[in-house]
Amino acid sequence: MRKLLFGVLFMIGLFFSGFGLYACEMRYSLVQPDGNELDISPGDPAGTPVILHAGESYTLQVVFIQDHRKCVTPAEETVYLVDEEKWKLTKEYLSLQLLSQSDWREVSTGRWEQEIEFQPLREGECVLEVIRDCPKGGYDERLVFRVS
Amino acid sequence: MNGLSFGSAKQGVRRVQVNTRRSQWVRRSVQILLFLFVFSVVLSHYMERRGLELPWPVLGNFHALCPFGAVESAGRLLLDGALIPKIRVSNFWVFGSLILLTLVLGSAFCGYLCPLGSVQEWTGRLGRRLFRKFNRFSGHRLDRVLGFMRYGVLILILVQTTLSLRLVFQRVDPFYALFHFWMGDVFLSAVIVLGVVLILSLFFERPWCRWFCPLGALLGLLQRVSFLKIRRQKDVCSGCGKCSRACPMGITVARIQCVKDSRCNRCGSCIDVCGREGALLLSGPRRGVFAPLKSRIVMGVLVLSLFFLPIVSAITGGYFNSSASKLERPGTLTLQDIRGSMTLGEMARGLRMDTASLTAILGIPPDTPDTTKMYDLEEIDGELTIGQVKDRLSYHMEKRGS
Repeated sequence: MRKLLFGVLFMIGLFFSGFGLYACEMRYSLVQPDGNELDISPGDPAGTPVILHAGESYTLQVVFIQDHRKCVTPAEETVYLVDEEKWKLTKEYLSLQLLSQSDWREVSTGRWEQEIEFQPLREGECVLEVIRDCPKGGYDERLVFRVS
Repeated sequence: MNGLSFGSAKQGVRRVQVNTRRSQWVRRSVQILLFLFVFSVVLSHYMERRGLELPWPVLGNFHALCPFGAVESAGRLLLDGALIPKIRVSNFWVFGSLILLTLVLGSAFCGYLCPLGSVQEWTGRLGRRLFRKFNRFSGHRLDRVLGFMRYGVLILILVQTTLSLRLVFQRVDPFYALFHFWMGDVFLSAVIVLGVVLILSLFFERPWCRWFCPLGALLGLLQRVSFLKIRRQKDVCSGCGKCSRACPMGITVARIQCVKDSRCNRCGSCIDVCGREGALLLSGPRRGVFAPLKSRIVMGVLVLSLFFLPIVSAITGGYFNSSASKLERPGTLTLQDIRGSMTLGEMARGLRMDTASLTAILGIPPDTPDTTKMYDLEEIDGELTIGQVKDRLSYHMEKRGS
């Protein structure tokens, strides 16, 4: 009986604890020109779109939490595509113009952060594709913005 | 007639001697078969990811085949009309087959098909040999109270998955850990849960199924309306209570007319130990239903057929769609499907052409490696963005068409 109770309590503890220790995911939040912060989710064209205004500057805060125990793709190898092209400072013609991009910094074990400043140039729908290429399934999701 | 049987109770009572070990052989064979099948699916996908060309079709990612994936994605599907990442249409086919099986036979999936249930059962058999105190807890009031935790786990996972848009259950999923722990891409927490489940299995019958399994909770509710149930024939039953003592899940079969308990997994142990022919039957609501079916082999075939026929039909009909892209079905890739994360080799396969032809169409050196990503082509040819790749392919297709 004691063994059972110990086992059950241990499992309940695991379920309810915040054991994101080895969790892996990408989280995004958008800092708007007025300073407000908005959490955004990828691949959600059916939901409420994220509205941006052309000509204004936004900061995208990207958090990468290591997915698997043995992650083989460093944070630096995360690839961003806009208009199906690599997002680069030199590409001033893309619908989302990249203004600055900080280096990835490890804020705690297995948790990395990066800030990207950009400016929407044209009205319409813009897609920012985030890719992490790895042999364990990888990550390929799209953030959809509507620029007005 | 011995052991698990379909049919109506006969008027005369006949005592039967049953060897329960032998009477369970069909179920145990199906369990082994399913375990090997799931393992082969995982292994095939792993080998394909490593770049090996396999002569047999690969069903896809484990996540895309899990029936619980459909349940996890249900919230988002209802709210946004979209699926959780890693969940595909295939999950709904597998889940649909499971619903069909459960509506006909109850939770036979748990007793016959679920590999985690089988592993717990096998560990339990080892536990019986090692320790005398096996499953003493079964039928205890606390056992029943703990059984309600499954519903809590189910609700928690549904809410968390819908809110976070991620497969949160993956963090503690012992099923995923069981088949992937050797790959190094399983959450440590899931490996720990698996370890605890296996240790508990040495002392108790199927602890995960009884107290934690969210899918089992759902199937348990559904099996209350299943067509075939274990029914006790009052006029034949002597009330000896052997069936209750034999039930590994602690159900007091001898005291109930019809087993609707959500813990019943249709293992048939109660029927196997019953010394009176026809006292316990897996039958429809009225006597005489399925009277000609007396073989336990038929039960095994029925379980496999109900579960796999819809899935096989979906695969052959091209509706299964367990892949994120169309890469796993050569020749089905369209220009709209091309994404930056694809490699040159994957795209050539998807378009059913060789890499040399593809490099020629794209105007890049023929020795460009197969593993080059689409987004990296612009490093080779400054103008070759993914949009350009689509344009060049489109031009080629039009030219070939004309």
